[in-house]
Amino acid sequence: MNEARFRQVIGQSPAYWGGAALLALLVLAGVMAAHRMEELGHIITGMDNQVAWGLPHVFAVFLIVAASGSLNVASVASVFSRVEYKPLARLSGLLAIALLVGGLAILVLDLGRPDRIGVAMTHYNFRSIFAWNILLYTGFLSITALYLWVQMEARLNGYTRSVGTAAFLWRLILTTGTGSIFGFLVARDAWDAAIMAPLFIAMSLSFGQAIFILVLMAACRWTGRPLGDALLQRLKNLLGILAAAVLYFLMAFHLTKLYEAKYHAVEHFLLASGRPYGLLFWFGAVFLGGVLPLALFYLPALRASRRAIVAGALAIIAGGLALVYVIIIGGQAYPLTIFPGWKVSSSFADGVVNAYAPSLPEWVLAAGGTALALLIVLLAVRLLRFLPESLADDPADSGARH
Amino acid sequence: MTEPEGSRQPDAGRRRFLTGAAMSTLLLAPGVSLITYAAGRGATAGASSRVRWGLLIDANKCTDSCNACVTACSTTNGWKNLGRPTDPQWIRKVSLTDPESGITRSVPMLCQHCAEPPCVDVCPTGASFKRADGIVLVDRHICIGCRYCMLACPYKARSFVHEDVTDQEPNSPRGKGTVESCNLCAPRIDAGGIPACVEACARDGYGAMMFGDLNDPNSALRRQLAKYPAAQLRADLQLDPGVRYQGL
Amino acid sequence: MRDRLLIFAGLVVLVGLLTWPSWQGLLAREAASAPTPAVREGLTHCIRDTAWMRRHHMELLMHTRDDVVYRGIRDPNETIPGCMNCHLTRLADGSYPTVSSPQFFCNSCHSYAGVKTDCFSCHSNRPDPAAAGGAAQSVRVTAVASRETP
Repeated sequence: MNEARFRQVIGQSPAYWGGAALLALLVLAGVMAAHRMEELGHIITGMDNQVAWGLPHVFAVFLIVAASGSLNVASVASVFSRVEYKPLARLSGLLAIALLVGGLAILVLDLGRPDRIGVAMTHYNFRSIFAWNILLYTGFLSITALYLWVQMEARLNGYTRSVGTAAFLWRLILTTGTGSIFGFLVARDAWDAAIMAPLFIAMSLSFGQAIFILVLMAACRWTGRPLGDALLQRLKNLLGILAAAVLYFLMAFHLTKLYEAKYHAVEHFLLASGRPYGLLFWFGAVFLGGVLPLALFYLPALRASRRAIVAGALAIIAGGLALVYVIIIGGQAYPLTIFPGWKVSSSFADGVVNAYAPSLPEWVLAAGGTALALLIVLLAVRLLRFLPESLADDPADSGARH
Repeated sequence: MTEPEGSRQPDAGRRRFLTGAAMSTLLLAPGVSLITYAAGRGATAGASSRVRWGLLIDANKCTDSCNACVTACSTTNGWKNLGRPTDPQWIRKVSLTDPESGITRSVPMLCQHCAEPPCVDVCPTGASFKRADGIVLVDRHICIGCRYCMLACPYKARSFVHEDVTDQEPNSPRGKGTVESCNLCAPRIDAGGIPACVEACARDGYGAMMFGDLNDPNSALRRQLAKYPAAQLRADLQLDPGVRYQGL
Repeated sequence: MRDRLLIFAGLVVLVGLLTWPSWQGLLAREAASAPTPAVREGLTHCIRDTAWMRRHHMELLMHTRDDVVYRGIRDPNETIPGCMNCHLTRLADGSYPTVSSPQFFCNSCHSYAGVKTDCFSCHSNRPDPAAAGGAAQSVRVTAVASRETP
């Protein structure tokens, strides 16, 4: 089998620079939105004392979860020794870092006191899963950077397996931690479940793989480098399994809650009566995030279609965002049960469903963080050798395993 | 370039002595000035773990039409709730209706000052903390405004400051970008007083709120708790709140 | 080798630009001195002596802050409202200066030193009305209500 050769993207076309400029403008807009929020306070956003985490957190959690999952291809290559994926490992690592940086940027810029990020770095409450997540995220950046280095420095290639395994374990812990941010909270009926950790792991694998496939297809198409059908089929099949896994964990999560009378009200709210949560869950998370992609990937008529792969991956991303929105915002919209059995009302929105509508600064901040992730990928593939020269199928070993 | 050892002997010894003396002076000097940091005359004794402050709220004595506790807290601590969803509310009145019998109750709802506070567990910087005497507070100097504690609190006790604050009360510093909640009037308690809400309720003649030391078996609070069963809100969560309710 | 001249010239320009504030100070005809902040009339001394305060007030503030917030040890003279009792002087029209005005006590040195203070985004810049002259309790405690009231 030929050793994969990597080459920088030339990146001198108007399309390349136009794309970079557009992304840079979006990043700048995001920074300006964050600056306004810091200057005037969160009163200019749609977040309030009832729904304290809003659209920025939805995007941040989505990007961070996807970041961990996009390292999946590299893990499969290095840890599970599937050699056909080895040429993809560098891009996978790069995407993981880029998505994580984008997500963290949104999270940090949304803080009430972002000027105190130094305090956050030096004061840790180790009982807080959030504090652990901060350490896990920064550690993940370091370990993935190290992983990229041992792959790109020929003399260190021998360490690829061990560093790859460390990165693989690290991201499992990291995603478990992210799911536990919500899973550990007793206060909210919609959360407080151990299954949120594996649910988030399944989500990370699904979203990350979807983004990876899209980025890979776009990169090969726009640089004119061949991308073999067999490889693409493998990636697609894997993505289908991962999307199905998300459906499975969602089903287990909600069926369990539905079984308990205590949770009937909140489940009815999330899955049926809540606006827009019911719609987002069924049309977004279940249909777009699972059923439609499975159909697009596995129906005999569409099996060979590249367009179906792109559509399916985009649907997974849209469904993923919808799912994170239902989890985070829906969980806060449903009122707290402070006085079980009583009907309550007060001047602080007790006993009522909380309304939330994202505001413009939140959208711009979210877009800025996403653009940052994409910009990092765009610039990195030009500066260093992340993209393989050719991913054409080698007839000698299509379907073979080593 | 080496030098013969023997000829340098006395100078080396002197140098070591002088270096050691200088180093110890450097190390001592901050310690000397630290002595002057000790609190001056008139300082209060401080919070002690021998005490656990608590509140007892008698729902039978509280009426729907009265807001004295809310007004007193708002005046003492300098926050205003004008009905906007971004306005803070350290204490609020909650109207309860029993769906089967139609019986109504009204109680104040505030930070419960739990012994096992979820807000303290989740704070990434440790800004949300429990003082030795049981009061749960936010150290606003290190709060980064992440609002995770707001998600974690089962009682929605925490508020976020969404806009610039001017005209703060001198004894209640509060500012944009940090999270706040009832501090059981810690400045007043530390000086030997009682929370403003309890004082206002007593002054207005209702006497529905009682403040005292949960650790003292002879305190009026403990004696009252021994008379009738008192409920903890969300007792199923086993947070052991310092605020108890009778008559619910 | 040719470029060496250019590189060194560029370095000199860069270092010159970076150290410009020092040059500007040196070249200034009149030596600018630190302002002497105003205090209320009739007060003889601060809680610490002036030279020590100039150097160490931040450490004192941080130490007192931890004492107050974490341990509940409050000395009314060593609270920010306590400082304001002496250090805040009314303007000609009887009002108190705002935090950003040069007549505000902290600002008089801090704007000269170019060090931004974050304190007053949260802390009130008014003296405590209940305290008088800094010697009294800065927290009002009503005589009516005691802890033993059933």
